[in-house]
Amino acid sequence: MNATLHTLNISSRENSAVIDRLLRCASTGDSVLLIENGVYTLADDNALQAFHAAGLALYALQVDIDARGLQHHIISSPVTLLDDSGFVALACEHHKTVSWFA
Amino acid sequence: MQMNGVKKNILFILQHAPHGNSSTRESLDAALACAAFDQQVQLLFIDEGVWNLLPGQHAGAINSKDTGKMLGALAYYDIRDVFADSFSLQARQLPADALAIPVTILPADAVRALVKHADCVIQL
Repeated sequence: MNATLHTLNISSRENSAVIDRLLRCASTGDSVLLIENGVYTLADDNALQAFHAAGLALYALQVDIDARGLQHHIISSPVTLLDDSGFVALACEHHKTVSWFA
Repeated sequence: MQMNGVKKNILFILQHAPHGNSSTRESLDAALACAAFDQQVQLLFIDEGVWNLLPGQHAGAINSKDTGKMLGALAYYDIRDVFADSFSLQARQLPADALAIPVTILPADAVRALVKHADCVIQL
């Protein structure tokens, strides 16, 4: 319950400074939830490896993936897909939420 | 003044250079307000945010407001936990001993711990 949920709403390729800062502030055992254009990060292998290396669990909002037609691109990504109630449940499971955005 | 006796540890992360937008001023405004309500406020300057710590800024020259004055007010609101990311300072060749206000320089591990232990993290 001491873990932090980090939400990311921008593509890692579009603004690498934000994801870099997230990685410098997150601790092993934290979670990352990709929302809005953040779901494009699922098509960035370097970013996915960085999350994995940092010990971060990865989640993404299904509706944001579907809205961008990414559902067939991410089959091999180690990500847990959530609906809105899953988002709420995930937030409740964490000590706090930190929003990373641009 | 306390809000039901609940005192939270609120960390503001300042990541933008001054003057490009109002994010730094808004963060400092919010931080001062939190301190006025007796909350435990912490500030972390990181990445381009460390440019706010450069002394000798004359924002009036571009009709902007000086964030330096707000930084100077932090101590009057009892905000002592002002931190700067060591890596960000080094990357910009900002000497730790010549900044606009006294700050505690944090190595990477300490930055991580600061975020981990905050009750609440705010970025504007």
